[in-house]
Amino acid sequence: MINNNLILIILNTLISLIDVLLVLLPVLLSVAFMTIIERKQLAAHQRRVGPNTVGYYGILQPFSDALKLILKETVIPSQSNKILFYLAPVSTLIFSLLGWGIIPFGQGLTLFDFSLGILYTLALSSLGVYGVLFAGWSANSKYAFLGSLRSTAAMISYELILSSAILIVILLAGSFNFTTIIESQEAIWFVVPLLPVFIFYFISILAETSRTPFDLQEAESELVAGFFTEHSSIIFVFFFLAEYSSIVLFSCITAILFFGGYNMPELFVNNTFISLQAVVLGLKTCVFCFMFVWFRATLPRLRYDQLIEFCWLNLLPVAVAFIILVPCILVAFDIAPY
Amino acid sequence: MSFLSLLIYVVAKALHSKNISPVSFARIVSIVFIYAGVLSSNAFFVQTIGQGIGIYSGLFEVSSISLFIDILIFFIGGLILVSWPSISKTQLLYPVKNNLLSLQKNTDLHTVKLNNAGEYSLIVLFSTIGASLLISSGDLISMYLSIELQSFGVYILSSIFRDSESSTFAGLKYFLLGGLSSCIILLGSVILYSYTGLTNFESIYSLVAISDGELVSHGLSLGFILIILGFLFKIGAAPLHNWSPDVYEDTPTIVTIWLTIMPKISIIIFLLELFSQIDIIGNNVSMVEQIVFLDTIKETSSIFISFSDLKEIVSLTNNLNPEKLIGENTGYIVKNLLLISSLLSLIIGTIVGLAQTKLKRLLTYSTISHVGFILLALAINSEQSIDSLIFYIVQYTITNLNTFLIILGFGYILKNIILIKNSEFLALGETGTERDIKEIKELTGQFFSNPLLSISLTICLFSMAGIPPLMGFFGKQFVLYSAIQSGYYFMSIVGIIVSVISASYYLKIIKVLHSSKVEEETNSKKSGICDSFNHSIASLEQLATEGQSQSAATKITNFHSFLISGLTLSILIFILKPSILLNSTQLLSLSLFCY
Amino acid sequence: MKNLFIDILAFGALLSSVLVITSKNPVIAVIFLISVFINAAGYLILLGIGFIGISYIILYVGAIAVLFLFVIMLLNIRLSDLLEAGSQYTKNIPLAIAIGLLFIYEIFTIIPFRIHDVSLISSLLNLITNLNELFLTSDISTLNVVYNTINPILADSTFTNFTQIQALGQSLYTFGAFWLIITSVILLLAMVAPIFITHKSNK
Repeated sequence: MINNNLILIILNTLISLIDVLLVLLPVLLSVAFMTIIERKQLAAHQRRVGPNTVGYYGILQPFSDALKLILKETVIPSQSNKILFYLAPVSTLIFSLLGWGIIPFGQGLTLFDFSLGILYTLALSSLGVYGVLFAGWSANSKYAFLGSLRSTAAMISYELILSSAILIVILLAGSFNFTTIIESQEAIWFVVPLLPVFIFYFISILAETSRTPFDLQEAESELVAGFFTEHSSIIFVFFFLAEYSSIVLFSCITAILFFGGYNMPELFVNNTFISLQAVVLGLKTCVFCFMFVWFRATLPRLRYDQLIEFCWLNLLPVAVAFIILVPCILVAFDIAPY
Repeated sequence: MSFLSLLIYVVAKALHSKNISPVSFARIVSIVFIYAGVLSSNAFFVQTIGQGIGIYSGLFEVSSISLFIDILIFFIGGLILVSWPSISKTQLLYPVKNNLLSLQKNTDLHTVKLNNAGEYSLIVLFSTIGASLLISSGDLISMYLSIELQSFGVYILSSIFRDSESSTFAGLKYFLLGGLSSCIILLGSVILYSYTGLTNFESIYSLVAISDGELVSHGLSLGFILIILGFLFKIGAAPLHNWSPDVYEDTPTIVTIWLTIMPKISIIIFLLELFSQIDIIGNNVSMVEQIVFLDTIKETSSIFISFSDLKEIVSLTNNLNPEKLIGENTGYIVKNLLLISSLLSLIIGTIVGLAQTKLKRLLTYSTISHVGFILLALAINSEQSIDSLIFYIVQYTITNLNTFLIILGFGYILKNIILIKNSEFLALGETGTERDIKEIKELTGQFFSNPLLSISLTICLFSMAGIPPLMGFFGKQFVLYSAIQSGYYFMSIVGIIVSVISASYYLKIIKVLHSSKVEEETNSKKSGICDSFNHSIASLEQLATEGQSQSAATKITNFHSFLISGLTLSILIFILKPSILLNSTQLLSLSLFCY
Repeated sequence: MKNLFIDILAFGALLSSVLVITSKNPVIAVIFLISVFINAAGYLILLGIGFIGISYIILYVGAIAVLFLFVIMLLNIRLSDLLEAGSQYTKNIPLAIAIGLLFIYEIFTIIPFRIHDVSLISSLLNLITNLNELFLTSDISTLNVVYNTINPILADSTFTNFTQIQALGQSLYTFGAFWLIITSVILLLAMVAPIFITHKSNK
């Protein structure tokens, strides 16, 4: 017998599902197009053309890539730990996509306006380490294991710097909520007072996503393919998607934390037709994705021990110094947000 | 107390410079300790100490007992650090000649390295802060934090000599079991918090004093039992004592000194403070007074006060009865717990100790029986017994310290293995344990070679056995006297029998010490210590026993021998002027009861 | 509903902790340890203190369990040794069960416990009633539980509205400041000690 209760439950669930799909489907599309952007942009930096056969100007390339990978044969090492082998890429993808739940595309327009949003993001980046660790270990091959250990060590080292940088932004903004952070940048974007913090934040993001100049782990000439050597076809797609999704996610977070998010000075907010705020956020994210690829095209990679030494001996004192400096200034001039 | 913690930061950073040699580091830290002790004694003259002052917004509480034990902890800590060996350069050549590893003439003699002395001192500093914070804690969370700080320091100490496999094994064992006992303490305090919603000891006392709920008393008794169990685990009271012989024996003797003395002092005094703050102890006198008071009220004002008022007054004063304070059972349960543990410790400490052939294990079992006496004194809640408790702790500390110092001294003299590793001399041997005395048999005939040292050891062992007129006798007598006065006849009889039995194994050591060296020499040669050093040890012993008068062996430092002699004399001569110590302990225990 | 989830998470934590001790493969044991932490964090979040719950995930799962995993993966443990050692313990199981039951009995005689309080079991037993409530009643109020908090708007009883983190900071940095200092000393010791234990003294 159908009644109010049941209808409400079903409707609520359906609407939540549609909400999530509304966010996730464009994200997945954007991740797919991110791959072609990277290849075309790298080509442009290196004065060549890049993929241009598949669609007009190479636009449909990611779809043909995905089709090829799906149709490939999945080879699993026989001695591997099967559960972990399948679990690792799945969990990596899940944790990368989960981070999109709290990004505001407008004022309060999120899937969940979490008052502890920043903590949620940090927790997800901590959990993302596990996918890498289990992928390398479960493959039961020395190269994959070594690659995953190096990758994990780099990721958890730079997580520290990332947390410090984000903490300093929180100190200026006064809340963990993403919308509040964006609104408190109305006067000035945080990149202006916190430019050094932005610099080491960006460095740590490059390391978190294992991009050049920190990508020794997956440099194709070194350890074959790093921790996902043994994973093939559809499983590899998951890793691939997870990596690019985290690139786009972190660019988005950079835009939110340091560059004002969906705010544009002198922007006329007209919510009746299109919310221009989301477009602004999208454009800023594109800028940072561009910067990710630009770094890859121009910088050589660091050797692994240089990477770790750079983090612990050079970046960490700077981060700690800023953690001490910023509250001191805030208290001294009595401009603390609370 | 807080002064010391500031000094720590300075010292901790100083470790980064390689210019401070570890010997002077150990000495600096011991001076720091003694200075802190002097500072603590300075605080005695504050008038308001009395019952206790809460400091740091009520999280910690300073009372006269805690100050006194602070002084004791710091001074003893400073004195223990003295026991590191020192080697003067001129005497290095003698033992090295007989060493299997050859020495080149141009080796730099400056690099005499006391392995791990620097790290030892720093960790000891941390552990002492934890100990002194523990005895002044007034809150469940401060208690847990301080016990963790002290325990972590001690775990690390026991595993710092990582070249000796048994030592790291003992350290690991200690860490795991100590972690378990900390978990039990945490469980007990969580139950306390969930029943009362408070973490401050004084608040718990106030809450319980005005409520008469069954639930509160049940929860409190469970919480207290678990906390006390956890602490009993940490001091190695039977039946939770199985870790202590292994741990105390396998770690190098320098670490064992610290392990036997310091955690016990702080944890036992903390238990004393806990009981006095939650008022399981104390108020025995006031109960009598209040009954008398009530009688006078009844007589004088029965005309004015109606019967129902009197009933209220009676019920209120009944609620102040200490056993009823925490519920009918808690006072009895805690007392019974301590009594059972004390009985088992006494019995196990003596009977199992009879079968030991290794020196440090024997001393560990004697420690367990001493802990039995201490728990007996704690379980009886009277002024005399608390008096005897504090006195026993002081006497136990001095005697134990002296014994271990003498054993360390024997080790330095008898075993002259100074290894050369990376062209620097490791004064404690490669694994840290090679200069320890392991078996009792190694002490044979020392009376003839090192008469003064062996006489000091004899005096200490007699004091531990409880032979008058030494200090140990008075300790035991005091405890047993207060037990008899409160009516615990069975425990006293057990205590006396146990003392007699334990005297026999102390006498065993003394007999070995004084036995003739000629017959025993061949035995000790056969009981070779490690194969690769057999030759050198045999020749060393010949050298040591023959050329003893020229002291070709390593000297103990002056301060070390001075300390041994000072402590021995204090044990001996205590009877001539006992009033200093006895008066102070009596004042301290009265401070718990009469405010 | 929320009670149901809380109980599921609590049971999950207990089950995972038992599986930590009894699994043969050490990596699987660490995975169950991670599951214990995640269950505990979920429990805390459902209780309402989201800050501590998420910081559990960041710290325990994100740092401490990763450390455990590193050590175990680098230690190169051979499973055969572990299995041999494990078989020695199975003969102690009856004794372990006896002691465990004794302990549980002691605690349950003191702490009051009714099976009705465990909403997981009671909801299973009252399944029919709950389903009826769900499908057949026509009022919405049982579905969305609204927690009433006392919010007097009187001027003399409104102090401030604290968020969680503010509430934590307010008491931790003023009243409990010394606890923070002691904790920092413990952390200092914990940082210094591994350096001492593993430091190779080179000339």
